[in-house]
This record gives sequence, C-alpha cells and structure tokens, in this order.
Amino acid sequence: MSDLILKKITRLFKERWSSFEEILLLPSHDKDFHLFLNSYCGVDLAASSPAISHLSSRGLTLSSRGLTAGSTKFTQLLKNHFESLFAESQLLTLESTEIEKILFEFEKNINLILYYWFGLDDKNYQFRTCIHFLKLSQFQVELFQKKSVAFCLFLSANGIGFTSHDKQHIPNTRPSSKLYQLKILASESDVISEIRCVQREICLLIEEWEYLNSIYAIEFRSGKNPFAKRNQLAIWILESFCDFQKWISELNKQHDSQDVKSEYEALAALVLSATQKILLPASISRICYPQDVIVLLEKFAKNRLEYMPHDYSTKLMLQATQSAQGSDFASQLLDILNLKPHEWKLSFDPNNIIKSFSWSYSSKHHLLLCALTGICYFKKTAPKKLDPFFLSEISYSVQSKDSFAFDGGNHKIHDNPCSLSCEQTQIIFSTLIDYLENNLNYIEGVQEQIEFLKQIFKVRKGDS
Amino acid sequence: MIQRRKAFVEIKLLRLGLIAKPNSPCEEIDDHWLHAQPALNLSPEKAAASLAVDVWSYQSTIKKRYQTLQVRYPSDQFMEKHIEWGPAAELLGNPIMRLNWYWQSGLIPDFKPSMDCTTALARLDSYLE
Repeated sequence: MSDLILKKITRLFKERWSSFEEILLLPSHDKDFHLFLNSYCGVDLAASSPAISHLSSRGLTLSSRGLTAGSTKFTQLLKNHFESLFAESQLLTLESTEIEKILFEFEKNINLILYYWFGLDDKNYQFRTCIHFLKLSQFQVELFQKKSVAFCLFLSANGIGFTSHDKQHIPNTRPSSKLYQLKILASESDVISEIRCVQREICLLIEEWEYLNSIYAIEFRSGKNPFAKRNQLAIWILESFCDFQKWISELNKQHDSQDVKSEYEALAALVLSATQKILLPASISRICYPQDVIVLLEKFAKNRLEYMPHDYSTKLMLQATQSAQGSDFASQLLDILNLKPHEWKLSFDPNNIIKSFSWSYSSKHHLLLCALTGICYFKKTAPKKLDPFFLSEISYSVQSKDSFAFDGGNHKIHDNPCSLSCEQTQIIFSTLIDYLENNLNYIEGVQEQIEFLKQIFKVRKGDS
Repeated sequence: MIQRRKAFVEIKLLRLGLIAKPNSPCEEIDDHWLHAQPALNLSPEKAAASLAVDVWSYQSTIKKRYQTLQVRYPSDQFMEKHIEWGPAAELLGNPIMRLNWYWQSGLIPDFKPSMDCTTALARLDSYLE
C-alpha cells in the first residue's frame, strides 16, 4: 500500500513538474535577482561574518530582513503544491509511521531531481540560490497533522525536506546511480553510451564534492559546524560509487567487445580515483569519518575485489575498513610474502585509506597495515631501489594514528583482536626492515626516516 | 566546455591521474596528487580534428582510422603529419587516456547525451518499478 502511494506521489510530482519549476523560477522575477545571481557563489551572503564581510564592497546588501513578499509567496506556493500532491495520493489515510517512511523516500526523489536542476541556463541558479536569495535557510512550515504528529515542510540550501520533529534536518537525496540503467541494455552502442554517461556523472559528483566542500570551508571559518553535512555528502556520493563499481564487476565480463571492455576499464580507474578523493578530508585534514562512510568503503572494496580478485591494494583497503569496525586481522594477507610480483596487483596506493581510519583501530593492526603496504612498495619496485617519496609515505602513515582531531562525535575506537601468531608478526616486520636496509639508496635525509621506521618496527618484534 | 559554478573560495582541484607512472609501484591509478590543469597542447577536440574523427568515436574506429592513415600516408614520407597523428590516435584510441584528459584537467567530459533534469525525471519511474 505505502509503495503504491509513494509511486503515486512521485508520478504526480513528475506530471506537475512544470508548475513546480515555475515556483523555482519565481525569484528570477525580482528586479534584484540578476544582480544577486551575478555575484552569487554558493554561500549565504546574509550570514554576515568576518570571513565574508568584504562582500559588501561588491555592492551587495547584507542587511537581514524578515520574510519578504517574495519569500512568503514562494513558501506558500511550495506548501500548496505539496499539500495537493499528498491529498490526491491519499497519503493522509496512512498511519504516521508509514507517512514518515514515504516522505523520507519522496524527499530523496525530489532532491535528486533538484541536483540536476538549474534555472535560466545558468549553473549558478540552483535550488540553493533560491534559498539564499529569499533568505529561507532552515525554514519550516507545518503541512498537516496526523494524530498529533505535525509534519513540516523544511527548506535549506541542501534541498527540500519533510520532517516531523528535526530542526537540524539535512535533506536526503537518492544516489544518482539509481538513475542509470546499465543492466537492461542490450546493444553495444547503448552500453557504451551509458558507461560514458556514468563516467561523466562521476566527474559531476566530484565537482559537486569540491563545490560544496568549498562552501563548508567558508561555513567552518564563520564558526559553524558543517561536518554533518559533509559526512552526509560523502555517504551520498559513495553510495553511487559502490553501485557503479558493482556494475563494473558484474557486467564487464558479459561483453567480449574490446570497445566496451576498454570503456569499463576507464570507468573502473575513474571511480577508484574519485573514491580516493572522498578520503582527502580524512587522510589529509584528519577528520574522523562516521561509521556509515566506513561501511560503504568496505562495500566498495568488496565490489572491487570481484572485478580484480588479485588486487592487493583493495585487499588492504578491505582490511582497513574491517579493522575500523573492530574485526580481526585476516591471515590471508600474509600470502603476499611468498607471492611473486606478477601474481598480484597494486592498483593504487593504500596509504590514503590507512591514514584515514588509523584512529579507529588498534596500534597493532595499524602497524601491520603500514608494514604490509611498505612491503608491497618494495616488492613491486625490486630489483630497483624505492623512490624516497614512498619511504616518507610509510613514515607519515605510521604517525597518522596520533594526529586526528576528534570533533566530539561518537567515534568508536576498537581494541581489535589479532590472531596472527607472534612469529607471523615478526616475519612481516623483519621483511620490511630487510627491505629498508637493502633496497633504499642511503641519501641524505632518508637515513633518518629509515632509522625511525626500523625503531618502530624493531621495538615491536617482541609483541605477541 | 562545461563551466564550473562560481565558488567563494578557490576549489582545491587535486587529482590522482587515471594512469600510473612507469616508475611507481602502483599499477592502475597514479599515486601523486596533482593540481588539475588542462594539457593545452593536445586536447581531445584538437586530436579529433587532426584525425578527422568525432571526439567520442569508439576505440576500434580510431584504430582503424589511424591504420588507414598509416597505409595511405607512409610515415617516412609524411613525417610532419605523423607527429600530429600519433599522439592524437593515442589520446582518443584509449578511453582511459581520453577520460584522464578531462579528469586531470578538472573538466567534465562533454559527452552527449548526458543526464539532465528532464532525463532524471523520466527515469525516476523506472527506479520505482
């Protein structure tokens, strides 16, 4: 029943898109809008702060005003629009818990469409532009009541929401991957076309990531805490990346055509590189990502291993995400010690992920992950000597564990079990030390790092 | 070219390339973060113009085209032409190279058709089915 009603609401939303779009275009009828749009760069200009105060020099009004006639009309029309969608789809006949579930799903659909929407052929004219122009950030108005539960329409720069209680609501968005249809395509040209659309989508998602991160940086400087919004953004993007990787893993085998295969290879490299980009706040700025992000990266690693089962960098990624959830250390990872370099792949540098979640697992797991990464570097480079850059990477990784800034969130630090024997641990550490002693050029500056690492891994030789 | 939205602070366009360097232990993607910059000397558009093909031609089409050019214009007699054609065929003949150009440049591939608001609305239904 509730599925049917969700479909009905979504269908009505689609049918009445043009009248909805007219509401979104309302601000453009204001005589001040074009001046506003010309200078608009994604941030709320009304929220005056030292960081953005120089904007007044651009001739923009920073005075805070109450709801103007334009804002009132905008919210009233939006309210009417949704009220009629809900009335016609008989949403109100359901129990309030069912209503909440449907609105949660519907909200995701609306915001996914809003993600692709911009007005007047201007990419700077998005939903957030309306909110900032009309000064409607965090606006809330009651739509209806169901058994004393009030359901509200909620507006923010991040989209439209429906909430019964949450004043800090961050509107949810359906992953954009759900719009792609790689599964049902038969013809080669359709498959290639869809793969290229996905390639483009990933570039767009990273553009969105960069754009919103720049906005969150401003908010942070203005004394706000945008971490929850960024975490939600990371989750939203990673959900799509997991879907895309799953498709690559499942579908690339079904095509013999080299044209299709090479497009899949390009897509796989892109989604991998883009995923590393999402790690930057954690690996460089030392932000603790929440559990949901870790779970999605674990899923990504599992999906990728189906595509490339011998990729040791993905295996280390999987171990890091599982260690970050309290798991034991997989003894299969030790196989690397006896494998020849051509028997496994090192697709990417596992350092980003190890640095990102080093705060969350035990020191022993951290050192094992760092040592195995170091061994990979050496094994893939031998018989040549390793570039000192990678030596620094190992040192940074080792030290990353103590450099995180906890933001007061609920971050669980695990005391992971480790069923590797004392001998196994020693073999890993002494293999790394052997490489450090024999496969590096002893140039100036490097010596210090080698000694540091030898110290770190030697001290622990006696650990159980 | 798709314009980037105006952002208040300079966006950190850091990228790991899609192609690993020969001296790196990593074999698929790059391990060094680089500032995104378009390689202006050879863009996919220039490469396509030089080979007289579409930017988004399939790999096999580009390879066939390059072979035809090699047969028709032997490289020892048409050296200047081949200095242009070689890198152009390499850039467009491998989807990972072409995509890397856009990715490393911090640009969105201008492939059409692309997802937009209308397509997204149309596809919402199929998701719900």
